[in-house]
Amino acid sequence: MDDIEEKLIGKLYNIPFKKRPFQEIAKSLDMTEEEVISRIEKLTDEGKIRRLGGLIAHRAIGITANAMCMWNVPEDKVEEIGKLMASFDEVTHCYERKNPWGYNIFTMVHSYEREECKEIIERISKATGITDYSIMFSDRELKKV
Amino acid sequence: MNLDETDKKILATIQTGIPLVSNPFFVIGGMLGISEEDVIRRLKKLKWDGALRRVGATLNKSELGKEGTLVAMKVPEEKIDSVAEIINSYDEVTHNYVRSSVDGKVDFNLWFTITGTKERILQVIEEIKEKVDEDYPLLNLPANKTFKIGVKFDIR
Repeated sequence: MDDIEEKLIGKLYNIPFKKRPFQEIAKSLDMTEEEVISRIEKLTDEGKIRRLGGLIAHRAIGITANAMCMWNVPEDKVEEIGKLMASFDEVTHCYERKNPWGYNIFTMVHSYEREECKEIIERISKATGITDYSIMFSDRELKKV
Repeated sequence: MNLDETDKKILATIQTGIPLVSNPFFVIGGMLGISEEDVIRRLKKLKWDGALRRVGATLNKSELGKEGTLVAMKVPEEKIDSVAEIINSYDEVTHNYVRSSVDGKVDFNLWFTITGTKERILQVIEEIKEKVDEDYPLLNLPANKTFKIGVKFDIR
């Protein structure tokens, strides 16, 4: 990443709530609005920027239940089942992780109530046929950046 | 927090992304049937009220030479706060939760994520162990594969 890209990315952390936000950013970097937009396009195409959008403070708006569900999926099905679990809207994160408990896929499910998280997880279980799983709810948030 | 239907629509729309055009808030207003001014005014208020953390770029850490990991620790209940203080003092630690198992199968209770280069992650873990200075079980659980990172919520 070159110098200009690094500076631009620094400015893109918080996009100003102005009618021409990219023009505002361009001014502060001595660039043109067109240049800012085309560089964002390039950074997005290259995969350096994952997305440009709003990050919701989900706890603040009532989405306070947060379940980490660990699944024991047959090794030869991890790819297929991982993709299927990821396709659920309620699943925000889905990873393959090795651990001593024998679970190999970890999913995060967020909702308004713990019971709803459990229902969603039951739906995932039915859809995938994976019945060996364990849920851990978050009792306290100690840090979130 | 008091969100009206329009606020909720704005949050639902903006979490999927903002259009990469010179006047993105005008375009969003058009999609929702409200004015550009109203979108901007509401976004400011949503941010001020704490419903919206920010609007901006989320970077792909692997493209930037960074990785992430999940670390699980088993800490006595009464030590959680002091251990968390050590863990949270690292900027590389991005999330930290106290978790409990529904079925009791897993008894690790402190779960945190670290972002950084591979070397830095291992260094942070070693430093945390040294500073905590107790033999609390600790497991580093890096992802072998990422199927999804896409935080989109059902906003009601």
